[in-house]
Order: sequence, then structure tokens, then C-alpha cells
Amino acid sequence: MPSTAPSVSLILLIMLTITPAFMVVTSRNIVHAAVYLGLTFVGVAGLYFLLNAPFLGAAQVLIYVGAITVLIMFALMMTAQRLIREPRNALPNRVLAAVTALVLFGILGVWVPSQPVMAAGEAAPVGPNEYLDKLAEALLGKYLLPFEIASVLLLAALVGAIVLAKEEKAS
Amino acid sequence: MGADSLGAVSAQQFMVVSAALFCLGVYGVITRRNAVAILMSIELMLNAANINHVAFSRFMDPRLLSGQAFTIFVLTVAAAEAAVGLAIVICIYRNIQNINVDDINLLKW
Repeated sequence: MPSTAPSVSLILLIMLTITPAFMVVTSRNIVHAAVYLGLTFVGVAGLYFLLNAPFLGAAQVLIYVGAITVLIMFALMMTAQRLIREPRNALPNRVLAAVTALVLFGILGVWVPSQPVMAAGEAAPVGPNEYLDKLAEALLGKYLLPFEIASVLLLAALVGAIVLAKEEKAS
Repeated sequence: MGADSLGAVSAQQFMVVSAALFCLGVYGVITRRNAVAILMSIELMLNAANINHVAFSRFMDPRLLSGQAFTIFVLTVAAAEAAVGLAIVICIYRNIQNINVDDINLLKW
């Protein structure tokens, strides 16, 4: 490993991920929060590209930025305008939540990465030509059963969402 | 190393990013009152877990891509969760004209 200083692109992507994520949880306007959430997803997609996972980056843009953000926007637009501006939680609650989050960050973000077990060996990553082959082999070979279960889960979620959100007219 | 764009990148840096994202999600889930905003915070936490999966797949298991396969499953389940969760929110709104979680206390006595 040549040096431990992060590269410029990584710093930019981290800024693009963390700053909007902070706005998602602090912005009082829910619609603004949803837009910032989309920005966070774009930053995470950039991190995937940086980690040699271009398929996941593309899937992230398609599914999260393209579908889930729009879905959340739909849900916001279908609920009342007066709920768009969220009332702030009480100050003691917010302080307690911030303390909880900071302690958790101390464990997950400072203590765990400093453990020696995490300094693992370096193997050459798969090249761009065999990347999709390897991913397809993993999905349709070793993880075939979870793959099929995931498709059934998506079908169940589709039907469930329609049944839940459908207007009841019979009564 | 094959990828030169990854010059000085290590798994630890991605773990710190992921932890920050996860903790922001925790803060959001605790303090938010709007049910949709809570779902957004949950999405943040799922994304944090995904970053860790991909980072470990890249740095510990770069040949088999098991972590990336798991990320695809998490992506699928997250999409299903968002669809059903938002449908539940819309259903609640239709019944009581409110989606603030503090006011949804129909089952309390």
C-alpha cells in the first residue's frame, strides 16, 4: 500500500455522499429531504464505481435514484401538503439521538476499522472483461436459490403494495 | 494492483464512510416524525450496509464477488421494502389523514 492518504476522487465522493445524507436527516422540508436522498444515492453509486463494481453502480442509479426516490416523491405528493413541513422533535430527544449516533460511530467508524484483523491481504481484482462473468456465476451458480427467492419476494411485494394502497369502494 | 484509480484507497476508509452514513440513518430514524422520512433514513442505513459489502468484496474477496452478489439481494429487498412501506403509509394516511408517527396511536389504549 503506497500511502494512506485518500485520493481526491474518494474525498469528493465522500462529500457527495455524507453532506446530502446529513441534510436528509436534518432538513425540515420532507420534499427537500427526498431530493437530498437522491443525491446521496448518486454519491454511493460513485463509491461503487470507485470500488470496481460498475454493474452495482449502474443498478444503484437505476433502482435507487430512478425508482425509489421517485416512489418516495409519489408517497409525499399523495399525502397532505400540511405534512410536508415536519414538526421538530423535542430537543432532549434530538440530543439523545445525536449522542447515540455518535457513540455508534465511535464503535463502527473508529474502533472497528482500527482492528488488526481488518488489514487483510491484497489480491488482484477481476478485470473488466471477466467482471460480469464472475458476477453472473456468483448470482446464477452459488446463489441461485436466493436469486429465485428474491424474484418471488418481488412478486409478493408487488401484489402486497397494490392490495394495500388500493382504494376500497365496496363498503 | 490492477486498478490505478484505486491508488491509496483502503477498506478502512470505506468502513468510516459507511459508519457515518449508518449513524446518520440511526439519528434520522430516532428523531424523524414523518413516516416517509423514517423510511428515507432506513434507506440510508441499507446503503451504508451495501457500501461495506462492496468494500469487503473488493478488498478481501476480489475474485469471487460474493459481496457484490449480496448487495444485489439487499437492493432487491430494499426495493420491496420501500414499495410495501410506502403503500402502508398511504393506507394509514387514507384512514387517519396523518402520517406523523407520534399521532398514529390507534392500537394504544
